[in-house]
Amino acid sequence: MFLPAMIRARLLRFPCLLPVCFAICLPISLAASLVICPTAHAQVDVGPKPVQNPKPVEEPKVAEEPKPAQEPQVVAAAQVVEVRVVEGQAAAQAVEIQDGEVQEAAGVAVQAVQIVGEAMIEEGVDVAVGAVQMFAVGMEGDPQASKLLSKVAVDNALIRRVCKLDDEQLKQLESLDAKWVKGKAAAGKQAGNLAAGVIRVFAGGNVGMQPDNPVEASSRVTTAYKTKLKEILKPEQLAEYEKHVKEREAFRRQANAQCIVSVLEDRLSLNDTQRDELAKSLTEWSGIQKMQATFYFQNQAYIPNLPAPVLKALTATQRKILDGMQKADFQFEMFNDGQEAIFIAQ
Amino acid sequence: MVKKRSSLHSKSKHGVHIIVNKVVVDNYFQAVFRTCALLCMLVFSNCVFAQEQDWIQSWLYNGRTEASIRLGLQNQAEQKLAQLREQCRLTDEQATKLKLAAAGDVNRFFHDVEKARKATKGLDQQNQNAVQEAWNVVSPLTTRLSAGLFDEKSLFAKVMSSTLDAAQVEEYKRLLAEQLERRYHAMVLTTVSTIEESLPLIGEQRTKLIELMDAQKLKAIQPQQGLETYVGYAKLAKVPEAELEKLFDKDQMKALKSLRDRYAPIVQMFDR
Repeated sequence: MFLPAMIRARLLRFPCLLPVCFAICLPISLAASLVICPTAHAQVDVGPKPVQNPKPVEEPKVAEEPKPAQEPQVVAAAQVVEVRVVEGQAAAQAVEIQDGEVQEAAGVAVQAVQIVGEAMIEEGVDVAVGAVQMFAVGMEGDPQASKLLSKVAVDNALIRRVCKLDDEQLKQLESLDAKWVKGKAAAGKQAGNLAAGVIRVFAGGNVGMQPDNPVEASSRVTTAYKTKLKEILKPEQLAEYEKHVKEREAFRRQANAQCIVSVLEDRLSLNDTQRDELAKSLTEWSGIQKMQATFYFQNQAYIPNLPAPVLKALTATQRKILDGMQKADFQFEMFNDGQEAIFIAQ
Repeated sequence: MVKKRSSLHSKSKHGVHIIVNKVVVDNYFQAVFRTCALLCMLVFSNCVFAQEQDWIQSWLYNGRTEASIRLGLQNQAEQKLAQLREQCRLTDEQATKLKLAAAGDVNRFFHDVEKARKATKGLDQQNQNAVQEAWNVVSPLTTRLSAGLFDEKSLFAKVMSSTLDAAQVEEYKRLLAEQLERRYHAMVLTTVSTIEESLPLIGEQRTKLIELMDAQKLKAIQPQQGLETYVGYAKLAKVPEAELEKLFDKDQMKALKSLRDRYAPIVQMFDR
């Protein structure tokens, strides 16, 4: 279309020259552009482009802060509280599982003993390990699963405190341990993989190749735990436990709401009435439960996305200020702060 | 005739007839030259429209416009002034002075932004040292903007201290102290809530623990120190052990002790 008729006729007669033509035209056009604008290739970005932030300067001097806050995710460093005797195979196994992360007590690595398997704990051995840490070791570095285990362990500990359990119930509750949680989480994963495999047979391609969804795993374990509790606890015990869980959730909502009010107070110059109303509407808002509110203390440049009904107490000017601020939603589930988990009392 | 026009026959020296469809060849030409034309246009457009990396836009404004940020800051100043008018009963003259001071703070900030823009102009984004240099210039502005422009070092604060009378200053100090107290209380609540994710507390234990933590006094801190999120843990570490022992059982104490030991060094940083 753009070529002189003579060249076109030649190419028509010798079609094998077409790729050659293409190969010649392309570099010529690039070379021409280089001649016309040599700097264009040095700056090929159009407009501002986000650049990964380099190392910040004038950061708060966190070097003096306590060590755990700076540590990476530690899931394999259980802390042995008390060890009387640990011998032989269990210790060797522990070293292998821990992959060099173990600490040693009296020349024997003991951290993973309880996790490696009850069978390996010899009779008479007394190993008391912080529950969360014990679970964390058992999950072999899976933070999501570690959280699930932590949740189950906390609820078990709560039940022991608020419900008067008999020996049989205690025994049954103890069976809801790391192994049980792992089993429930893995069962769902296997089912998912199997289903994905079947789909792939018929549909082909990569259908169903996604890894197990952590939210689904969490939901599976939570549902199974609730079902199991119904079997173990008497109705009045279950009611008592649920009352305490609700109290805990309500407190979490209240704490998060107060935190957000405090963050906004400085920026929006809230008065007493506004503070109270905002705290009330935030507490009632569904999104507050899973919010990682402390993030907004640390990162003052951001505020959470709050729906309009929650902000009824604000004036037009305050809403304008809020609109102009950067929004970011951070949820508790998104965080694994890298801190060694604290103990859960048995 | 149609057949002749749409196809060409040629005979190679080996006697093989090659039939080429003319339409196919036309399409081929068009594809080749459209590609070349597109490439040329791309290069030209880059030449004409190419801009340098705007570090201020990337790191400071972060998707917002300068006008919207300026408006936001002006609104903040207006809101702060309205609060002061109400709570410290400012006179019109005092309010005017403070309004001017706030405008001065906003203008000074954007003046510094312009200086930073000039300082970072032309820095090559492919060069890590240049990127670091740009960050060194821009990050203090980011900190200033996120911490708020009307802090203790601001013109607003200075004018306020020289404009307000003694009673008004006292009232303002009281307001600030109350605000800090509320902030610390919110931190205590969130800390207890976080602890509760790992350590179960009964309702009464929770309430008492919050009371004990609230009762611990820490020196006021600036947000820039990066210590704010540790307020709750520092207060927990300051609670006398005997008080906690009255509240918690042996296993809970073991867990709490672990936390208190971890955050004990923080207390020294607050009390310094």
